[in-house]
Amino acid sequence: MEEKVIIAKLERIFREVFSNESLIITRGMSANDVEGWNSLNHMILVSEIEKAFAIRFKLKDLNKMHNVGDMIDIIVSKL
Amino acid sequence: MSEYNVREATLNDVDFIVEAIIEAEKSGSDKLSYSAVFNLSEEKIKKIFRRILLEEIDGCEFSITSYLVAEIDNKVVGAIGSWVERQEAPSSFIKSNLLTYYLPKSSILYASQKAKITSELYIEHVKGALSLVVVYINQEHRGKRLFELLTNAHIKRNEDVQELSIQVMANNIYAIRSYERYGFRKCLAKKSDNEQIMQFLPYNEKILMKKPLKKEL
Repeated sequence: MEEKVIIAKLERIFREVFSNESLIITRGMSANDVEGWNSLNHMILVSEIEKAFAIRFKLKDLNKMHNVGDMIDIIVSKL
Repeated sequence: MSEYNVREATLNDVDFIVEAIIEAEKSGSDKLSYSAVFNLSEEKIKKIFRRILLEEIDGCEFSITSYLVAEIDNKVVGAIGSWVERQEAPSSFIKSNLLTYYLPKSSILYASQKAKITSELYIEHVKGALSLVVVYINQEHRGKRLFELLTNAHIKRNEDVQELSIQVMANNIYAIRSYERYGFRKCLAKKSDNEQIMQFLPYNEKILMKKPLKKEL
């Protein structure tokens, strides 16, 4: 799957989880940049990503995710 | 007469730390928010927390290294979990990654349907401050300045920190008085008028308290 396709799919998940239809994701974006990105929403986000891409993150993958760019790289590595 | 000894928690203390997390979360009530939010029994939650603590991941309330314990006659009777909140590695993420990995998917799905209700009382940890997150002293050892003893020990191992922060449910009057005696002052309160919130949390109002630390010149 191409990275731009992954980003588009990821963006749809972000918009759904954070109830923000105009949200544009960038590689450098982190929890500080998105309203409502708290611990519970982070869990929901990760679960939705796993479901949408049919992947399962390892704990070490999750602990490496500090921003959207990290998420994209880890998703790419699992597809 | 025996005296209290403060030391860093080890994996041998994991059962006490699980008890501390559970009891601190209940905030003097019988409502365990983790059970209500994730639709799991307290016993199941305890087992999950135990497994998470044994992962030895640092930087959140599910990290053994976050805890100092107080013991007397070789028995642990109190614990405080604390860390310095870092911009680059928010504790809430470390915690939620661990929970995401260990909780059943059905529990996360259940929680997602309740997220809007519980998020109303969410207060971020103060960046750069030493956050006291889990505070638990056995009933029979309360009033013996263990909060002060453990907090002073946490400060000592984080000497560069200039501020302490703590979050507490507004109905936990005993705890709030203890924190005020130590020098904490209320600086933010979040209250929810949602009638359902008490189904998930011990109370409908949460307070953020802070205390500046004076540095000797």
